[in-house]
Amino acid sequence: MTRVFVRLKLRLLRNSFRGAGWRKVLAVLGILGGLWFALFGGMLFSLSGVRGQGYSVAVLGGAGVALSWITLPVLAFGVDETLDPSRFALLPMRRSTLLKGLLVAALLGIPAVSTLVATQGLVLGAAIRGGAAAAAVAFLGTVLGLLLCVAASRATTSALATALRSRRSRDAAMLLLALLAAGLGPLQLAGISVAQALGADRLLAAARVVAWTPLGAPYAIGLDAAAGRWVQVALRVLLTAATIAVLLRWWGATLPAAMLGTASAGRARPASAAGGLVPPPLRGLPSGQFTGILARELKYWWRDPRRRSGLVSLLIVAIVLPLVYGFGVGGRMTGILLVSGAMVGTVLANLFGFDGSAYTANVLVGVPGRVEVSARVGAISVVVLPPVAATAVVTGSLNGDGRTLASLGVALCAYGVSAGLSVIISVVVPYALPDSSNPFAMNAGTGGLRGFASFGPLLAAAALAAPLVVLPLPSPVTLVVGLVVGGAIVTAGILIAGGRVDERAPELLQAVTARR
Amino acid sequence: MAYGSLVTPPDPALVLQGLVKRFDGVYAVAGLDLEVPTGSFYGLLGPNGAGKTTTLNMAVGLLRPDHGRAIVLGRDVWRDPIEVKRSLGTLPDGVRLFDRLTGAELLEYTGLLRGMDRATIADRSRDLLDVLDLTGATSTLVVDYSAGMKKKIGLACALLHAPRLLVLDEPFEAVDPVSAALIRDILQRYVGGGGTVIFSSHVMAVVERLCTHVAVLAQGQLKVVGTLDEVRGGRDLEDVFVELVGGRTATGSELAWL
Repeated sequence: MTRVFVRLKLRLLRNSFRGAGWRKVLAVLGILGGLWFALFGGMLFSLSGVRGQGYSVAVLGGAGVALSWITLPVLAFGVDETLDPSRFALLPMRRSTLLKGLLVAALLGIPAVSTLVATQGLVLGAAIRGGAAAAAVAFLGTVLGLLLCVAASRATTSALATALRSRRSRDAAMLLLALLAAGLGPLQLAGISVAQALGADRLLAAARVVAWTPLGAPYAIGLDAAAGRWVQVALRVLLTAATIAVLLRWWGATLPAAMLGTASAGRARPASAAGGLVPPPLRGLPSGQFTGILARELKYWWRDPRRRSGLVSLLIVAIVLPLVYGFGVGGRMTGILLVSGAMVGTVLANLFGFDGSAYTANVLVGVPGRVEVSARVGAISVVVLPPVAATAVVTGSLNGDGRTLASLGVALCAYGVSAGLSVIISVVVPYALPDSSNPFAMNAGTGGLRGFASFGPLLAAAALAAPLVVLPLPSPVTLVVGLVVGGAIVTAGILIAGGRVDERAPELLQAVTARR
Repeated sequence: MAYGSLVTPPDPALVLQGLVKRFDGVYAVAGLDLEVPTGSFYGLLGPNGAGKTTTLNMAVGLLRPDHGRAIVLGRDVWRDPIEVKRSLGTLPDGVRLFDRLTGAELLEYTGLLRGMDRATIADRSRDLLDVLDLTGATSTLVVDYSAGMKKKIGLACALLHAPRLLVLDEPFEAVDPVSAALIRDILQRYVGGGGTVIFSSHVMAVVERLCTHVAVLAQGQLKVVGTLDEVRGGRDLEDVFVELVGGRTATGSELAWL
């Protein structure tokens, strides 16, 4: 049975090379990216063969990879749900069979394969230090580590998807996301301490602790074997295996819900006589296309589970990260505000993909591009700007250097630059989201695109807003400059994207319509 | 205030000239010419995959043709899209609506996109929801509607701005007999008032009952075009259709294991 899943997955992967030219380019880019990660990562991990810091390289590097597997699908890339569990709902198949098949299918993908190749550097390192036996143990560690990564990423996204679907557990899911985001903090603190002091002893101490967590354990056993600590090897293998078992059980428990298909967003409140689309605060706006799209987008950011989960996870990170730093580290935190503002801007990177074929309604009317794009940017800005601004003000005042306004300027500038670039990306490389009940699901190949799409605006925002962080301008001047630069880029983005929509609305519609 | 009055112009309501569309090298529509007279009730017949949806999408500006032109009420769809779309009401098939709005919200959204004022939108929405028997579902999200209700709310969206030409893709699919009769009545009244309807279908009974004109499409090409009586030639429409499309008939010897 598992072989059927393997063949299905391979066939689907091969089919992702068919179709439009840019799709092929993306698929190749994805493979190149995976290759680069595999080689570069492999080189880094082979440094574990060096005496002294080798242990920290293996354990902390491995834990970093594992943590990325858990967090990145939720925050940025989504999971490759080429094999959507709901497609198997009608087949008479036992859950364990399905689980095994899905797991194996998940292992057959660029991320999994390149992770496995990269971690083979550990095998090399262990071989240098301890010969063949240590190398064999290290290899076992990399396989267990990969299984852990895949199981963990599937279990978390599946559970979160289930939780975000229902109104009752939504709050709990949000809390979980917040914890996840907060978990990024300590790791980055560790990174900072490396940069600051390169305190080798502290690093090694951290590595010793992490090696007893499931995240680091599988990557430690190669070097443990080389050093002859066989008891520790056995304990860590047990720890890893037990964690994998628990994760698989958890994933299996959420599968039935994932197979049930899209749940409704819940009942809407009774509409008022006038249709109730436009909320009272917006009734003052002139009646027309802009108001209609703005009001509909506002409703959609809350009612559509896919949009809601993307928005909520980004917002939580954007709020939690600066605050964790502000309270935990102290010092000037303006740089992290830049990152948080820029990250929030990237929700706009597939503006039309969320609509899917429903965008037809707007094409049928022929909404002018500028109206279309500016209303969408306006809606998301109404939702995200208040929390982003509040976070900037709070973090800025925590700094205690009287530069609260400058913090606000940096965050808004970063948001503006990233939003302006993101809307252009959303019309130049639009892509369809799969008809799946899992808001984190992505089509094969488009996960990479989503990653690229959010990375570009982040870089641009960093480049344009960094001077505001560094230059010693008076605080109010920084705010004004930030507003002007951010506002200019957003405006330019709306004009460019709007022009593109005017020219190519039907092609845009084709691109975001999910193939059946 | 009136949005698009039903005055009959002399031109044909819809002209398609040499339309061609290829997907991945396969012709979905291979050179199609069609003229829909104003005031006609036009049925576009064809088996699954004949190219009906592709043709209609090219006619309303949803899909750019590789070659050929689509002219609505004397205006080229691809040169003058905004003007054309103003006089056109469309019900696409296999397309999601903005289904996380309630029925009333969806109508209000459509009205705002069409540039109508709120009072008119409210009046017409109430009428349409009432006539289409959707009043009970006014505050239900469209995603929770049944397939037939989705068709009806889609039709309401197409009718809201009182267009002069209605292009409907499979308007009777998944619709129960009661609603189908209702939709037939509405469309017949609309044509009686000077409007023009072209719709695709593979339900012969509906076409025979409603249409003044019929075109049969198969493999991206028109097999026959004419008034209903011309096409039928005194026979049963279904027999004519199956013959034209080249369907096979079961002999009884296959599927013996079933």
